Amino acid sequence: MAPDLGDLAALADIPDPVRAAAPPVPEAVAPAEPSPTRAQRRRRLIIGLVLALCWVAALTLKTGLRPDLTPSLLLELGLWSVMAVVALAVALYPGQRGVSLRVSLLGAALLGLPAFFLITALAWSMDAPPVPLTLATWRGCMSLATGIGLGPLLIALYLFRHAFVAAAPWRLGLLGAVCGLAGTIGCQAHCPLGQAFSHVSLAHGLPILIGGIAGLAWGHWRGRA
Amino acid sequence: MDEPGLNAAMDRYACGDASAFAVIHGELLPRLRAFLTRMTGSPTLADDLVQETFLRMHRARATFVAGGAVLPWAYAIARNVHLDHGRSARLRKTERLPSDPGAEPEDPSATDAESAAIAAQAARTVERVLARLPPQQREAFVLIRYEGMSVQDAAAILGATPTAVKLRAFRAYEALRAELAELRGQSKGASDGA
Repeated sequence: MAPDLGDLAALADIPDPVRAAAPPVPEAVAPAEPSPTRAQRRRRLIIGLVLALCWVAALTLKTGLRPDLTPSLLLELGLWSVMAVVALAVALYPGQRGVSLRVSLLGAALLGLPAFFLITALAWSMDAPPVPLTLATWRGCMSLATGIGLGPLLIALYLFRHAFVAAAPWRLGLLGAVCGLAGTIGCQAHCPLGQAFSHVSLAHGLPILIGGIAGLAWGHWRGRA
Repeated sequence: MDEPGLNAAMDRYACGDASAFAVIHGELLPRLRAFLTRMTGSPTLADDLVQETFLRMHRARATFVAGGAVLPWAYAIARNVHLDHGRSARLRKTERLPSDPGAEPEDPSATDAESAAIAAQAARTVERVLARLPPQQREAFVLIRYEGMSVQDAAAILGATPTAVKLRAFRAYEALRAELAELRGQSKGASDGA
């Protein structure tokens, strides 16, 4: 028989084995170990965000912007940037009670980010000439996208170590995927090889997957407060 | 102290007011100690984990957001401490020291020796069944039944959906109810026989 989950009042039937009078609470002082205050943390996060953006902009500009930077392509880059900002907000939003958003929402965002990237990449590749999927074309773009995304990823992993009290792997996974998307945006703004779906999704988009997995792993290992 | 007052104290502590720590410690220590005792089954170990929890709360105080609730935040940290302890303990066998009596409190409401014995036996049964439950069911049940958390807060603390948390708590309840019904049946049979 399926349980009735609407009413958990029946749980009160179970007695409490730890009901004895608790020992008196001793006087306590704050630990002497220095820990950042909220204002200091906010300052660090702003500095980290600025550094990450500078890293992406500097590497993208150093490698050079592609010659066919049309309004249509700028729209694609703009959509990815908006998606990155939304995903960043979802990862960092603490929820109404200050703990975390629902895990189902975080999971949806973690899956939705690459899905959105693939859909837009497909939409923008409709009339694009094919690009041969060779190691030479794949390796260059993959290295560049990963290199651009690596800076923000390292900054995020450093700033958000032991930072989440709940759902740390999901939230750091999402942050890692956003950093990978930053690399993808930088590479897409540079790549002169065209818009073919196979090239964009694999060579430019793989850092999203790498960043997501790195964030998930770091969240399991060092993410929980 | 009421919950808004406690949240305000944590807010001050997150902003750097060290004097607020005494208020937070005084209010949260009994709750976290009880929670960790239920999770570990050992008051001695729970005391160690409570100290670690307060240290982590101190380190992570900047992550407490303005307007947040300190109770689910602190319970989530205590749960993390318990999880980390469980992971590190897998590699070594831990035993209760003879001086550690475990969670076997006396029931002050018991009016005679027989009811005291029954209450103590029920408490031991609950403790035994809780220890045998899968950790996910145990923590869901403990948070909702004993710590008074809402299903939403428990879900946020456990990183699960509210439906999953309800289901886990209900399964734990079913297991405990079955054991307690058996115990009551035995007690009734014994008293009828006498």
